[in-house]
Amino acid sequence: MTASTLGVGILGAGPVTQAIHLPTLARLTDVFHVVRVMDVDPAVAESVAGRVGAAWTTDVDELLADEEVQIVVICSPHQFHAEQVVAACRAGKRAILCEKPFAMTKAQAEEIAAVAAETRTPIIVGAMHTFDPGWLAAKQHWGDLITAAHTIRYSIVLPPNPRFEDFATEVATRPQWPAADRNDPDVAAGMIYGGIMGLAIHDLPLVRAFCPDFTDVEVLSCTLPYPAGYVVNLRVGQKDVQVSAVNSHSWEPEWTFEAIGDSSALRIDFSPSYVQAGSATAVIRRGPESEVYGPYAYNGYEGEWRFLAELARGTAEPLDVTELIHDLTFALEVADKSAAAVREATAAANEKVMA
Amino acid sequence: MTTRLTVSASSDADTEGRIGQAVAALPMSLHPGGKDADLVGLAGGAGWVDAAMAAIEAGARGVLVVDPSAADARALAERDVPVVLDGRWTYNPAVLDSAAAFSARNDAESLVEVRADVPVGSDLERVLLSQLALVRTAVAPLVQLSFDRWNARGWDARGTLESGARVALAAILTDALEPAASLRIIKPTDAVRLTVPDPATARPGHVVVSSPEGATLLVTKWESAHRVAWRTLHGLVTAGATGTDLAGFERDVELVRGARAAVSAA
Repeated sequence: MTASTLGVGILGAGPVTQAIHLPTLARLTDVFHVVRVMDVDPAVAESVAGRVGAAWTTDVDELLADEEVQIVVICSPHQFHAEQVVAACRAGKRAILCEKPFAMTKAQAEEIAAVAAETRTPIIVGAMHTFDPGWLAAKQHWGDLITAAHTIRYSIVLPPNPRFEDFATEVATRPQWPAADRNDPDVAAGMIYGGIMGLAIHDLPLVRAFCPDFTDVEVLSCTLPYPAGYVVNLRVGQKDVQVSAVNSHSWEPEWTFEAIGDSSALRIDFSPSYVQAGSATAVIRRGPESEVYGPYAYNGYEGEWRFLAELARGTAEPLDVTELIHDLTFALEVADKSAAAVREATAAANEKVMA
Repeated sequence: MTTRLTVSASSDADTEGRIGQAVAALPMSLHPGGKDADLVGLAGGAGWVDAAMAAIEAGARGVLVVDPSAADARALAERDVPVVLDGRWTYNPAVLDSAAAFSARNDAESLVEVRADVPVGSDLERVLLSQLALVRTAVAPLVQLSFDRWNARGWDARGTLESGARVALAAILTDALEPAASLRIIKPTDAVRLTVPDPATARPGHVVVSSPEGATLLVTKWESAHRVAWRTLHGLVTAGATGTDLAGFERDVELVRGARAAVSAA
């Protein structure tokens, strides 16, 4: 810590804070220092704060009132994001990083936009892949692919998080998920909604980037795989989109994004979350020729923190909050329609069994 | 001692199926022949069943059809002559080698994903038949199929296997990517991934079997699918067997016609 480094306050000290943000900040000690950590569990707050020599609290207001906290990172449960972003703006902080989603309704997002404009507080949402150097390099070189791509594929095979968390840190506590009856239509719909808003949301901004008509969303089908995940076929404007994820203990994690046109295509392979394994690798193909970008030395989480520092110091232009709202409303629409499709399909399957 | 059989092929079949190359790569088993050749290679466009029947009437002991289109092949199946359907991917050696790993993981908790990247302008229905043959050979036949989308850029479809496993099928028309198929089965604890190149190349397909203990790449075989198909036909003829391609093909055609009719009616 030095007088010239930026003071960080963290709301919510669960695995994402422990295994993602603190290890990332440990790589940027010349830029940031952690001032205060808040968690509703005092033991977790104290334990996590103690790792970085920060103060701890169980009170959001106490953290926001701390003048040494210049940047607030919000890693609390989703339902608290919007109110905490607004409160951080009102507290006069220099920049805010909110984990995705930054709100759960369009109305909340619009309130955030209004308050951010009023207080002139720059906000970024932790869609880390949008800050990944591999993605940013592809963006510079993909030419007319945004219009030329007709097919979008976004696929995840997700191993259990501890496989990577335990290489990144020593996790103090982990949330427990109760078993659920997936034959119940509401449970199945909830699993899909949670999957889209908790996992797919990471790269839905990338999907949206290739879908100029992103308000024209039709869910063609949605499947709930075992044990969890989603397989959603979509038409977004004129684009054919598939968004899929499966949780599996198998040994081949996958996190890919593809945009494919008649004569050019992009594929990005992202490195796993949690571990400091460098950036994504992007390949742009034009027939038999390929251009490869990356892997670069750091990942999207570090990219977002570097950008956050520039925002806090006034050396970068803030993101257009309208775009963040568009990202959110796109995600909400995909989640709502996918959940509805699975609810209906599950109910129909149950009726067939009863008959 | 290997029995050497003679081969003749139409010009279209030779072009589409690289038959000359395959025969040249099996010099002890096959040799170019004339009109009375033991084996006949046919292109799989419209009329291939009639052409196959005619070849058999003329004395052919075996027929190979390159990339067959949908057709009623029941009359052909009734003849006691082996017919090999050389679809785009089925005869890649990696497909046969992957079958045990796929079958062992085929149950109601499995998700099967199959995707074809094929050149712009490809005949989508023929691609679909090749894709169904791939799933049938590596995993099990589909028993249900429906389309979410079918357009000039490809399709997205859903299906099920008899086990209850769900299948997501896709085809993407593009000249940006190498023509290839990929097939994956994912379960809560393990997975199998197969990638299959174009049938004309001897570059190997890859099979990776993955579990919590690690991932294993199965043996890679640098043999083109076309060569394997001809080797298979030679084996059937010399063994006096007929093979199972036509029976599987008939079921696939029925499935495709039903699903396509549902798309047209919608």
